[in-house]
Amino acid sequence: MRYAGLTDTRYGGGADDVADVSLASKLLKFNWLLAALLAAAASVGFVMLYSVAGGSLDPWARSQIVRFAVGFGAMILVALIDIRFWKALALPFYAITLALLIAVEFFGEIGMGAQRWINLGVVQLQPSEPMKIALVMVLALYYQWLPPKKVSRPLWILVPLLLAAAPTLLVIKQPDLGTALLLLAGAFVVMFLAGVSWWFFALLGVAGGGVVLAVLVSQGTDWQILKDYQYRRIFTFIDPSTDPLGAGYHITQSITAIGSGGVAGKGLLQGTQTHLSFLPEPHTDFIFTTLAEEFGFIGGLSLLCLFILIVFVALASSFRIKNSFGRLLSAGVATTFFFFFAINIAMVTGLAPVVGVPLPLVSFGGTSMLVLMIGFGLAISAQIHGDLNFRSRSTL
Amino acid sequence: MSFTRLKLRQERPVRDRSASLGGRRLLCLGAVFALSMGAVGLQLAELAGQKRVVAFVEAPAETSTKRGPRRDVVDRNGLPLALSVPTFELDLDTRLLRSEKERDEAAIRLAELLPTVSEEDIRREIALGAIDGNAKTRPIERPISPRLAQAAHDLGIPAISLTQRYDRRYVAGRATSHLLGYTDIDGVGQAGLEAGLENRLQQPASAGPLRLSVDMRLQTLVHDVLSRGVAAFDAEGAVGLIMDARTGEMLAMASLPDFDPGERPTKADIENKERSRFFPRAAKGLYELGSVFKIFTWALAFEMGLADPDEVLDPPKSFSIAGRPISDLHPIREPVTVAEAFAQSSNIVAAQLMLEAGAPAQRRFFRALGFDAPTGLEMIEAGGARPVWADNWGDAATATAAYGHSISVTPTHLAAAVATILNEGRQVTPTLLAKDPNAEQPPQRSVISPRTSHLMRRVMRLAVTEGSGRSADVFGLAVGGKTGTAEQFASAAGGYVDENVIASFVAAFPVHDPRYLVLVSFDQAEDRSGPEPVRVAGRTAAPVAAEIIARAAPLLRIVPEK
Repeated sequence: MRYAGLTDTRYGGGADDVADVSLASKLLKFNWLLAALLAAAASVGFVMLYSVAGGSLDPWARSQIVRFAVGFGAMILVALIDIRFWKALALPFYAITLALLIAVEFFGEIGMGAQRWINLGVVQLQPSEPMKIALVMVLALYYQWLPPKKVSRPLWILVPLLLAAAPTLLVIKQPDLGTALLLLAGAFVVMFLAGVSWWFFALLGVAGGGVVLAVLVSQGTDWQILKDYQYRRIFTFIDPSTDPLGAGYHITQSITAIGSGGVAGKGLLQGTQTHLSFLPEPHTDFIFTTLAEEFGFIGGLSLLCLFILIVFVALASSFRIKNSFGRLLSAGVATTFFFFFAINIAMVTGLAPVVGVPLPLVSFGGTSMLVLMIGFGLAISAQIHGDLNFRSRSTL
Repeated sequence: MSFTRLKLRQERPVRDRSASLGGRRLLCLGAVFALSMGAVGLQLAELAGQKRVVAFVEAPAETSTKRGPRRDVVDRNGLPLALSVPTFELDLDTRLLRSEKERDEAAIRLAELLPTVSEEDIRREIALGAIDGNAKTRPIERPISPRLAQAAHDLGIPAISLTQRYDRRYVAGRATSHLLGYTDIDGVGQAGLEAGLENRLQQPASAGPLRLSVDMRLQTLVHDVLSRGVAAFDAEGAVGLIMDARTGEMLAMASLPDFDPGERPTKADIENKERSRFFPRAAKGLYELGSVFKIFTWALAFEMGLADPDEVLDPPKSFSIAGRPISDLHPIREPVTVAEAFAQSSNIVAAQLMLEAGAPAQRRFFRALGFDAPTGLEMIEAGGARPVWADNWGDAATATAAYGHSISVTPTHLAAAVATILNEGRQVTPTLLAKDPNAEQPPQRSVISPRTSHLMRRVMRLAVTEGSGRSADVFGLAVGGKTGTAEQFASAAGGYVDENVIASFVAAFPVHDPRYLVLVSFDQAEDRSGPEPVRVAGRTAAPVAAEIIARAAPLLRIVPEK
């Protein structure tokens, strides 16, 4: 098998045992633009955490900087390692993470004592974070393996659905609605990009409507699907509170804070709503509100643009990847990131129910930051090694 | 090889199609993303455009911790006496209940959840919150367990606010209520050791539990026996304590009446002062303790060489000093030894011995025994309890103080002074904190000679075998002691009153080498088992002390001698 000599580069098709690319050329191919954008977004987070703490590096900003540095290092390391190595790990990674999620379900009692609920929305049981990446990886692997002509056959749609449903249901049970939504969104986007028929997504829309209906109908019955407080959050959103002091307290306060920022904002450390503790969790879920209050519409929109830029740079780089594993993985990571910040910003601006998703890269939080950076590392690795067109089973 | 290449060629168009498909779909996805972010941008713009009046609304206190847990308190064996447990306070912010529906829901759901709160209670609080000038955040229940707090949180009612705090649990309940005292709602000590040791109990939990000298078994035993004594003799109050006669460590200390650790003084309790059930008599109550003071009179006489135990006296049948008659309850009709006069508790002999010693020596001795200052016991109440005795100290005071009048001390003062007499004359300082037996103890000041101490052990044993304390003898335990039955001065009645009697018994065992000191004191106890009610200590305090000794001795590993 001497593929190297036979490689026909005109078709962009390489062989998987082509000689390893040198470190220098890897660094040259490294998506430095994406890395710079990520660092910029994280820096916004440092400033906001400094502000939320009342102008102090402690307790949040300092450790966030350290965590980002670690995450950045991890991203580079992951990106420089051959994507085939990660491809080989995709299935075990998914299996282990799923096993951990199941373990949490059965042994999680230990961690759910008196303190857990206090940090509700902040502390999420850990395996659900890496699962966001693991699910995207395993689905990318699946579609790399599956011959393209089979992707829309019902039986072959069932497999990715099961792969996505298992962790989603476990996460819903925790209960962590926000992460469950992220998992599903990531999975469907990978399926969409892999070429699953439009019919499937039409059907999915109908089924989604059915689930929403079931959730609503189940309230108050024996088989009630969501927790009471989750219903309350949804209803609070659906029925935009006629009274600002009613059940919509969090949203009202958040919207008031954003509005009070006006166009140019009140200036760093001047956000009254945030600093007078009107806002819940100003250092995690509602950090965007603080930004919009202190730096106004301009500041909020700038961060939004920065985020969109990150997504588009990542998506655009995916175009050029020759193998479907890398392409789907790269696009999946970008999508996960998109849903992550979109849900948060929609939530704090009153466009979506409060589901308790932090703002990626900016909110205080170690695990989700590390997972996200490793995810981007994988995406960049896929881009660096994008010329590889390794065998899928269908080609043999 | 060429076969494989052929395959690859055939595969190429398919892969290309999928790549371009993915490309188109990527564009679709990007468009959807861009559109949705456009919507968010528009929302941001709209919000920024509205110049809202900033609503200054107090945020509902979802969770806050006022301060960390207080240190636990354990007994000398490490058993828990006071523990800090995490609990929650559930409040309702009535401002967040805007509609009748929300009020109904809050009342009904909370009443379902909380076992001790009724729907009416909650509705009443909501109504109170609606009244102008009232606090808008109404307390519903405190303390509730973390599990219940979680359930309340999960109701999803925004008006519910939960505040974490640490509640004190007193394991031994009433038995230690006076001793340990209590804290206020913010966990600041208000009474007893909780207040007296505030600084040490505020130390971080990493300092470990605070170890007391108290033995929980003995504490509950003394409390139990004393309670039954109060019931049997229909007494107003009582004090009972066991002290290590060498180190001054209190092994048990109880005062009655007492209170449940959950109770707090009412206005009536505060007005009642020293008659209140919140008054820690053992540490704070100043009483004329009567004939138990003869221990000090005889000790001073021996120390000054004024008398010997075996010296025979023929005391006068009546005696008066400065126009004030002094009499004996059981008049001595024949010559007795000095030791027998002690055992029979002769006031006349006491007065004569003390007059011979003289007022200056007597006052010096009282000061040496610690009657010029508070005891130094760690309870907050002990700090203000300074013995009361007159400055213009005439012969009458010298004589009456010889048998425990004209001077008021706390039961703790008495116990420590008697322990000093029996501890080879070296001063014993009372404490409620455990001492490390291996650590070097500060030298104890010598108050009387060891010889006098040994003589006092003899005469106190005689008072139990032959004298007024016969009912305190416990077979095989060599108890020595002294009774004291003291009429109290009642300002309302304008003088000393027969019925208002404090009957005390102070004992040590084994008396030939005293290890432990027991003090029992009853306020207005009457033994009504005979034809006439009897108030003397020999019939009330002494038998109760005997029961405490008999039951405590095995726990103290002191076994009856054959």
